[in-house]
Amino acid sequence: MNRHERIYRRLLRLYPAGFRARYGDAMISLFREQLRDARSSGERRQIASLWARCLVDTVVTVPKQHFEKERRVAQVAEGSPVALVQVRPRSPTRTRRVLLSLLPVWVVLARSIVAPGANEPLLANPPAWFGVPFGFSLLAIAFAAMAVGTVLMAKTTSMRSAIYTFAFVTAPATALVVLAPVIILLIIAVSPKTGG
Amino acid sequence: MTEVAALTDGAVRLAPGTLYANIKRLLDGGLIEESDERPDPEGGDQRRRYYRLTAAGQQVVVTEVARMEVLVVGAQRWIRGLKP
Repeated sequence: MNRHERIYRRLLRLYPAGFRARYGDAMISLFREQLRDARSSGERRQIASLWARCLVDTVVTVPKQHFEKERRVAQVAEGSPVALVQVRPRSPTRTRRVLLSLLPVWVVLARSIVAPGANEPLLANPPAWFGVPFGFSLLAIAFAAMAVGTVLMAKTTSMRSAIYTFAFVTAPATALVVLAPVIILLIIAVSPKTGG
Repeated sequence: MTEVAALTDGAVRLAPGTLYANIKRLLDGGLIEESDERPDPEGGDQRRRYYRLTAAGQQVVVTEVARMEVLVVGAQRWIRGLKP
């Protein structure tokens, strides 16, 4: 087994166990075949292109396989020139999506329970913004973004937009909540000491 | 996959995840089924799976191609109308 295949096998671990059990071997076999073709071309660019394709493929298909239980109903309308291939993606239920969009809240709650001290920098008064502890301002921004994400998650019916909402709204809001105490400690560390 | 690449002049190169996710959908929809027949029973990668179109799958392909044909013909007529 070569280095490329070993890395691809690791990537496959991201897929749900059922999908992997059913198609994992065949996927590796196909990857090996594509890798062989790329190598036989003699161009390194072809191997890079294969990897780019596989990475994008993984990013797109893994969440779908985890969250989406598709039901495809094929109906062939007799005598009609139109084949109705009806795809009914059963996207995660609204409740599940909304709960996921509240991730920043779960992070704050979990931190309060597991390491209450980690929240203390959020209350640090200097530096303050408009008389409000800076940490509160950061949390307000994060929670405002989270609220937008929650509304989008509740409204969307498409898996793709749910993924985009998570990637571009919920995840950054969560990152801000996670990093807020660190940001404040850094600001305090670099801000000039006053008084004395 | 080689056939897909040949049919499309190399324009379509399916990555494994996309291919097998679609195969799963088609299986769930009853449009294809797994086949026990192997082109090369002795050789070849034994882990490889083979599929064939079901009767419903064939009917869908035929009607879907006919539908696309109607769209393409309409689009070509429209393009011809654009030319001075």
